[in-house]
Amino acid sequence: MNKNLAVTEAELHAWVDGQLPAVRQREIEAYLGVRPEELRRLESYRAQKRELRALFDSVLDEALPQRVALPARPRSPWYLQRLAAGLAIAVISGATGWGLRGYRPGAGNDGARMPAVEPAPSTLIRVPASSFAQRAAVAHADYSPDV
Amino acid sequence: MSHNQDLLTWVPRLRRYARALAGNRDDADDKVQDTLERAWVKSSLWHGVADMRAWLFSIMHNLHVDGRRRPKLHTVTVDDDTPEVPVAPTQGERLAVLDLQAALDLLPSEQKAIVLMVALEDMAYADVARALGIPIGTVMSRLSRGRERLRCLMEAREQPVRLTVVRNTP
Repeated sequence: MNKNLAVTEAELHAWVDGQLPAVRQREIEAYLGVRPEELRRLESYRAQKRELRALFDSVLDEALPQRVALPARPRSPWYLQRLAAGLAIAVISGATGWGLRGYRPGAGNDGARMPAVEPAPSTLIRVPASSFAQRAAVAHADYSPDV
Repeated sequence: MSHNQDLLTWVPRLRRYARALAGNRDDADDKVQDTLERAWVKSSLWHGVADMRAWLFSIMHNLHVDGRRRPKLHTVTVDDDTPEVPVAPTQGERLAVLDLQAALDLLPSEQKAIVLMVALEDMAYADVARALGIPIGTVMSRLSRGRERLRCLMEAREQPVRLTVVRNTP
């Protein structure tokens, strides 16, 4: 690289922050070697960084207050929260649309199966459009407040 | 679900940055709480976010700019177009040396944000530019001004070095 390439203010800061390619880093060091005032100014920026870290790094070790820990928790997506609420209503009210009519554990059930109550995250559950409970569940889902 | 985990991962660093911006614990945690809630509103975008840190820091920055929370102190906006003024009072009196938090609070908000992102997070300039939605050249000029202003405040100089000077008439 050309050592005579003009050194910019931006490069001097990049030198402070270690964001220069190694070769240019050394060229800037040589440039500063004969400019003690500039070197002093840039060293003070390095000291400034160290002082800022010293002042604020202790925050990293603080226990998280509830009001920031809670919003950071994983949440299930909104459509599963509503679907879960709708399912709870449908199952409790014995909605026939889910194929529960005539279901007896063990005995021949003509293929009728009880669907899993827990929705698998990767699948959508199709809701048959017949029973009152199902319509109530959909109404509940539509009018659920945002969480 | 890795993005969900990422949110909790970044909370301590968001708190550190917010503490430096706000100067006190309550206002700082206000910012973090607002930032996390806003991040959830935009959760449909997470799968497309390459750099979660820059994205979260940019939300925090934009919330501050939008003034979602009314500032508790009356503030005057100072930006790059504000002429540089000497920090020393007239009559030749020297400024008392400020502590670092007080000096930080005297920086224009864009300069302060950039100085802190680089000092606390070692953020690459391209990431700072992305977080703030400004060109890298603007990042560099504000970084330079911010650092120099902070240095002058801490060293109680009468005026910044090598920047546009507004001279006191004696």
